[in-house]
Amino acid sequence: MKNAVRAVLAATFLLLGVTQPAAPQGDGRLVALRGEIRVEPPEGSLLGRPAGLSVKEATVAEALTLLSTAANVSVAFSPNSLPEGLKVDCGCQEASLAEALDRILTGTEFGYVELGDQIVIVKRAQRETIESAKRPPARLASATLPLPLGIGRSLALVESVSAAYAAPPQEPVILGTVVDARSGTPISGAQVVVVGTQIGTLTNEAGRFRIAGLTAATVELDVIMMGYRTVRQTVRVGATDVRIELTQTAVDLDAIVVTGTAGNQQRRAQPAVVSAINAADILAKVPVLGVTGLLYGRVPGVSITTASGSTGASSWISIRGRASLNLSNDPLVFVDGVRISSGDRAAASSVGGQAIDGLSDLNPDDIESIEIVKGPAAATLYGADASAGVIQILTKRGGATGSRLVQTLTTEYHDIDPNFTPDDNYYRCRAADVAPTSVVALCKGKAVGDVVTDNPLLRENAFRSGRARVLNYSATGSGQDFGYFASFGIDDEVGTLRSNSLLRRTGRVNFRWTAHPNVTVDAGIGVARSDVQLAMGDQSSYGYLIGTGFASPRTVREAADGTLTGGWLQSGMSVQSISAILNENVSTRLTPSATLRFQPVPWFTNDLTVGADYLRQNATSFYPKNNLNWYSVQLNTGFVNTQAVETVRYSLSYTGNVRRQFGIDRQYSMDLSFGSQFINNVSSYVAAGGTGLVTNAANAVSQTSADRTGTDGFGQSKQLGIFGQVMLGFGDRLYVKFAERVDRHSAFARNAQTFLLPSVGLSYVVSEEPRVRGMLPSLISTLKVRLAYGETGRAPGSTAALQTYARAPYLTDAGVLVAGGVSPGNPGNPDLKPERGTELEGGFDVGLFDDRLGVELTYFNKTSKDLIVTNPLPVSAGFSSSPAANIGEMTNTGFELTARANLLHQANLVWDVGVSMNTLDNKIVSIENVNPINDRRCFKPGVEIAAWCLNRIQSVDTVTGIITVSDTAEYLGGQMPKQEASFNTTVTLFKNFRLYAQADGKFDYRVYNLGASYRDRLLGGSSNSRKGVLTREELGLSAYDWYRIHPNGVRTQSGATAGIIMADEDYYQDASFVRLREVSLTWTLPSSLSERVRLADGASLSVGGQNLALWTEYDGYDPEVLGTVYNTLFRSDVFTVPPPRRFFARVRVQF
Amino acid sequence: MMTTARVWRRVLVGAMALNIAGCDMNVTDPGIIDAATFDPSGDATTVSMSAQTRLWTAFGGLAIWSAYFSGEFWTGAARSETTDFGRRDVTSASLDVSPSWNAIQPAIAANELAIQVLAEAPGAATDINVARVYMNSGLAIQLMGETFCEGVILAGPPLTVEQVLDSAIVRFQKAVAIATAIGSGNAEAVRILNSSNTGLARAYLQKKDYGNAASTAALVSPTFVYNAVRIDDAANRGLGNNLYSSGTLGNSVVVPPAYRDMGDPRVPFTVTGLKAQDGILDLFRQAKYTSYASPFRIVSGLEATYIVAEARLLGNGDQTPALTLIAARRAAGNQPAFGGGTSAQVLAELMDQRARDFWLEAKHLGDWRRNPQATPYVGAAGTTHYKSGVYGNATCVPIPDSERNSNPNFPKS
Repeated sequence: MKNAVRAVLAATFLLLGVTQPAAPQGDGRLVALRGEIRVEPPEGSLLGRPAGLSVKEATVAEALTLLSTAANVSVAFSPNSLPEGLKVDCGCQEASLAEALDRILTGTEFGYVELGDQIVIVKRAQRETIESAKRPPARLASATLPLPLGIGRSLALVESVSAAYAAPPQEPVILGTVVDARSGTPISGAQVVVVGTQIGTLTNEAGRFRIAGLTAATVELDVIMMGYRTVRQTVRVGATDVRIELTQTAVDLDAIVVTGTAGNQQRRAQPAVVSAINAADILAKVPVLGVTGLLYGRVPGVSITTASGSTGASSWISIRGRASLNLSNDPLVFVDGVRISSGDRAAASSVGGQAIDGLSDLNPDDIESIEIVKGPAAATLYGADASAGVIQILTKRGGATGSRLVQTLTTEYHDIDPNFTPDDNYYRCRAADVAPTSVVALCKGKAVGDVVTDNPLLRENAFRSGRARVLNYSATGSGQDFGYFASFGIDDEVGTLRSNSLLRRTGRVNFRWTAHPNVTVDAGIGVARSDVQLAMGDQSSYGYLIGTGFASPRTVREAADGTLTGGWLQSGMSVQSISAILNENVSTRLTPSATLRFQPVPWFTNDLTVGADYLRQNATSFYPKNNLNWYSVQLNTGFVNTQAVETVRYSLSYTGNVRRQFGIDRQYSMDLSFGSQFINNVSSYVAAGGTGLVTNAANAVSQTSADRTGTDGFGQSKQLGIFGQVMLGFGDRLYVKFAERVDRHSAFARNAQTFLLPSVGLSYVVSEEPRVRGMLPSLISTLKVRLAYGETGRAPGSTAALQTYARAPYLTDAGVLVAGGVSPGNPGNPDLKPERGTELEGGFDVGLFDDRLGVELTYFNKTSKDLIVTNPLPVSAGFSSSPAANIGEMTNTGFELTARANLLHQANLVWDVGVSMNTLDNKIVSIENVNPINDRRCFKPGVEIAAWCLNRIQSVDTVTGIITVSDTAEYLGGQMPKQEASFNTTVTLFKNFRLYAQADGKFDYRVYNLGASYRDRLLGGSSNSRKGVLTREELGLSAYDWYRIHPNGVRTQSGATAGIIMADEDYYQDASFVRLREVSLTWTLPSSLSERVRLADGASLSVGGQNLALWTEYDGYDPEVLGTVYNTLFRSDVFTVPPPRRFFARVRVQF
Repeated sequence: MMTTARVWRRVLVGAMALNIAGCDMNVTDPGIIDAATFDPSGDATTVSMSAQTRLWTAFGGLAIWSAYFSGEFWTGAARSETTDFGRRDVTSASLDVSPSWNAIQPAIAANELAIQVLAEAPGAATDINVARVYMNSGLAIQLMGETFCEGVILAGPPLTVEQVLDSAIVRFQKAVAIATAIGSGNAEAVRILNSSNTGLARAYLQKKDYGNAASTAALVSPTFVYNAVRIDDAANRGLGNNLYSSGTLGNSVVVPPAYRDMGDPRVPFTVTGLKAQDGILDLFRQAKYTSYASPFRIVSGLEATYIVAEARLLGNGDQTPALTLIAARRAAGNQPAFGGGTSAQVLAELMDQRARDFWLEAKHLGDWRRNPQATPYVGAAGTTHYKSGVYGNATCVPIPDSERNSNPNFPKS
């Protein structure tokens, strides 16, 4: 325990950057001895004493007795339990006591412990206990900490095994290397676990590992690596040249998943797909700056939409399409089993359609893996709200590596290129503009009709090269009964727009303590402090792009010194005025969690998890006082608005799991899991603002003199779920699962309803079925089929069912404000039910060509019933808000394909490729009481939700210029990509050079290029784009094409007049694209070189780029941006900054 | 060891029990007013005054859109939908039809819902709160009738303009009856009586019931004024004068040349030297409403006088009240005396004076619909629009699709 406390203190000091910790006491020092590398016991250890023993053909008991005498050490053992028939030799005159004990006890089931001034001979774990302990503890994914090393089997497999408890503090080591069996390439990040103990480690960048804390002469090692077959190998303790070869497999049925399942967590037993992303592996290939960066194109069915190219801006994660019409479509996010807030981060200060990413507080470098449950079929354990999927983020943990400390230092530099040039503004000079006295600088002296152009953003250097500097430090360590992971990271990024930056500091401490042979405690806390400044953008009238997108070169003026000014939407605007606006969000986030695991007997585990997500935001919007007419009359006096937002989410959950095997050869198994989950969400905010500052330095609200405002808000929701699950297994190849969950949610107000969420599933490893095995073609090495069905629910806001009044202060005739007025608020809906998600999915995992090619194919059919919408009441009804109502049903169907192939595995050339693809077909099945056409979007049965539906152009009169459009809106295209695909490849050359590339694409969807429509035509006489200003002849357009942009009038087929916007069809553009997202080259320092330069555990250097190329027919800057409010059903591009291009270099050192 | 295990076991069982049984699912949100905690009939003054404030707020919003449509304002907004509206090139699908509808409807609904709550209560026949909501409902419905091609009351079926005006008349008559019953000793009752009679006369006039219009308007004191009270309170900007905020602080509302050229103190404006938001129009800002606290004149004795003049002129050809009024108003506007003329000329002059006196008071559109030939400053259909294209031929604002699609009483496509 003393060591544990010391480790925590050391980790804390590391996190604070105070000092470098001393190596934990008891750690061995490497010395050269007779040409071998071995561990020398620390000073004062009994085990380091000379043995002075020489014995032949003695029983073990005799040898130990003689050793006790020769070494003058008390050796305690039970003679009756030692093997009598075993004879041992030990020429150990010059050996240490430890070496002598190793040799004497070789071939027995005994080890030794140094306790005080004596050596105690103890029995190692029984085989049966070890086998049962190899099975990971059952846990409810939503309520548990992850396995210590995330992917694959855990280092914590044997919490109940007392042998590990008896490990001595000082012992010999095993040194070795893990390599690819086919190519010999070192494998980094592989888990090496001593079977039957908590002892284990990860291989370093050079594939090497070192394990200490061993007592026996030989041990069995499990070596686990995602994408490789797990290997178990017997190794002599003290061996320094162990070579373990792993064979790559594209299908790994023995991998462990912790998300979406209770009971048996092996992938072979899972009826529904739980996708896993090996974050550590991705980060080894390419730097990733945010959690969403880890998800891009990695898993089929998981779609990421970038809101804008601004640093710190949010992205939208969608899994298997939209599950809801009006409610959030954000997947639930858990970190180490504790639910956290995600999605758009709410804050008062508007920055024009942009928001801060709710996941930006997580440091990717702290993440070991991410598991994704895509929908109801596997998400029953998460109950209400899981319809849109679940993302479980598993952070790194320290394994009990036997008094070991591994430190990793990573530093990155990114150069960020804006990657786009804003369009020029055009203007055709008129007579008054060209006169000698004209103030229209660009036209003065030109001829009437001349076209002039201007680009204020370029002229005033609005864009710059951004940069990011990243520093991450982590330490993973352990003692004999504990392990820990501690990290500290800084991400200092400057965006390409002025006044856009991100400074994020993160820290994490995870700690595991085996308090008792039957009790393990996992505790951790993540800390993040972020300072994000978002530039004014998108639809803000003071945004960079809209400020010039609506502007005319006509307003450019020439100063006395020849400098050009103006050319902006509003007089007084400039890059200087916009960049002076501060929109800052400073947040502090704490995510503590603790799991208590109690395993009274090997077949019964209990997990109790408590956790919280505390987020405090201080958002400030500040317009400086100025006398240059930068802003509106009021804002020019100085404006400040500040908002304090506090969001707290508490969760408490319990999962019990009973697993029994029975029958002949124990071929039958039963996993019974049960538990409960309670989550309480509370959010509140206080905001205040005012204008009229005396100085810009004193810019607190208290220093404003006018327009003082203040407001606050509160929200709370609670949910409670109780579940039970039974999984029956036969022969480790056939599994049937039944589960049921009961949920209640506070959203249904006083009469909270209880609803049931059942799920069933089947998993069958056909290739391991003896009767079938011989019937399969030889090229099929592994085949698993699966089928799953499940239901979830999703609830609206906490008071959605209530009838309310709205605050509406009234005035007296004397003008006195009386605060107590009311107006009808929400009529409420006492019959409101939760949205129900049901999903049927089925598919197979197949390994071909000795598992060199793995294919995972899944078909899903997800139905969302009782869709909840805030059903719009006619405004004439008099209520200020509309009631939530259950109005219909929607389906998402599609196929998901993942393929991994090991194409080449030669000594100096390894080539792996991965492909993921998915289709998505969304349709409304039924819908009631909703406008069938709303803002040119369809809400009709048989049509994709919110598909673009508008009056289509029927004809263009090329003589009169009149466009005729259809009388009614017609389907044009959907907003969600119908196909997505991703391709990645890794080529490893000469074992130490790794080239990685990823490209992905989205297809068959449309984006409303509203910005272009405005500039071309909707501004009427002030249109300022090339198409808006140049003549038909100058553009070289046919009359037909010309009038589609510039109609002389729009009529419906019935003859009714309509505005130009009714003929906007051409601006709903195909946004299909393919993007070369990442390319990187990593050089891993060869182990021989790293030893020579005393970098004990290796190092790597990476260079590369992101967002390097884009292929698309889309007319705007970028088809991926979502230039409107986050997560809406209106995918438009309205003057949004596209994603930038990055070039990076990274150095990573382990020591 | 057994003792320790037992302790752990008890901890787990206790925690699970707490988890399952101890979780209170009730949620209390201090940020909402639960209907269960408020009795509207028990607080009639709050309900009635709140509904009246809704009308006052609605008035400013409707006045702006009405001004765009009738040419009292030009739109300098970059937004093309607003240009469509100002060009009267709109259908029910036009996006900027909704704001005008959304402006007036809460005022109608709030007062109508208040009537539903209060009118059935004991003592309603002499309750000043009931009289107030009838009056304000009548005024709001009247505004809807003058502005829109059809009307809707409380999510009911579409009403013709005639039906809308009749609905207003019924409300005004109720208000008059209650205010009369309360008696002239009550200042508020007198205000309601004058306002309701003016509104009643206005409705009759819009229906071209000149006899009732003249006789009812004659009951109103010429000096009477009913103002919508506005305040300068940053925390309640919705209770401020939005014509001031839009027309004076913003840069998308432009005073058109016809009004600028009047040189009439009743049509004050400022020259900014700036371009409007669209970059096309020169920005001239209104100066009739000079602060957030500037009141809106909703009903006045002056309007009643105008109604009498117009009703007499059109009802029986009596020019005298019109000429008297014209002389007084031209003097107020620093105009030379009117020389008189035919009834049509007198009517045109009368409407011109109305346009000046009631500029930005949401009356010009009603004037134009009532007397299209005589009402000045409205762009004629087919003539060149000040920004692009030509004026459309709409003479009233259609009910937007947002209402049509969500109101079950409208037929669906």
